[in-house]
Amino acid sequence: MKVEYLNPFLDASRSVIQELGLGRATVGKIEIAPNPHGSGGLLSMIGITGRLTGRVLYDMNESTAINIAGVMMGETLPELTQMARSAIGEFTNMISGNAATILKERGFAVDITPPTVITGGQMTLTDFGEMNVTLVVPLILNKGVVTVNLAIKEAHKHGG
Amino acid sequence: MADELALPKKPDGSNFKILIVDDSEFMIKNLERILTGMGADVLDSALDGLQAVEKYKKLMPNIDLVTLDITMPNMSGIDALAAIRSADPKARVVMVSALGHQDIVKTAILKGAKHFVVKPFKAEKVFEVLKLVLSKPA
Repeated sequence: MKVEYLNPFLDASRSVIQELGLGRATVGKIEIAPNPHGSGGLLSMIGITGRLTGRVLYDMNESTAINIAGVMMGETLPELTQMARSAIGEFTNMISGNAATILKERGFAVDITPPTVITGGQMTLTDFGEMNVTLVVPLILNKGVVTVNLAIKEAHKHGG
Repeated sequence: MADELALPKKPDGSNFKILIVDDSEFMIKNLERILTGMGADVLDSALDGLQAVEKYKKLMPNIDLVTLDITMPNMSGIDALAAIRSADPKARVVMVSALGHQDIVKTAILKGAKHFVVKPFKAEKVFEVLKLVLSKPA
């Protein structure tokens, strides 16, 4: 997987995080993993289609999800409510949508799917099809860590 | 909501009536709070494009504006825009989406969207766009 696919997600993350009043995000140690493990808190999965294909998974523990959703909702949340889960889904949708815009500007026309938010339990993120390399990128916020798991590649070119 | 973010009234003195379409319950609630605070009436909301078209047709002609997300299940916002404009060529639709590249904006405008707001947004941006769109005849 090329690093040029990752940078739009990092740029979009920093921009969205700041715009939402979540402060500044720094990037932790980037790793490559065949089957990364979810933190057991909340996962939001978004598919990438078009010139590039694959998926991006945003992984965070429950307390980070509660903190981020609380800022977005303008209230202190005692727990991860349905509305908070929806807020986190929208948070990841905004990052992915903004990343898709940057990718398009750099010559990679992609579309994104609506987010699927999953909560609870330790999960192993078994990859799909030919996608066997995932870039694991921790985004360190003052509200906690959001780990971006990115696995995308150029779509097969069909003749004609 | 500050007074300076108050939307104008309709010629009969009533509030403009809005349908919010987004697959995120959070975003619907957020937009509803912003729009209600500006003096608009949110008549209903829809979670996908199919629901949006169905609800728009039921609300016609008592609906003044639709805020429409693009990335949604069942029917995308772009397809819903085309269907709504086909049912009501005067429909005022403002796209509100995390996708904001030139091609998608151009496609939406060509299909009849009046304006485009990219997420994340500030309330002031929504106000500025809606004030502009609602100041023009449908």
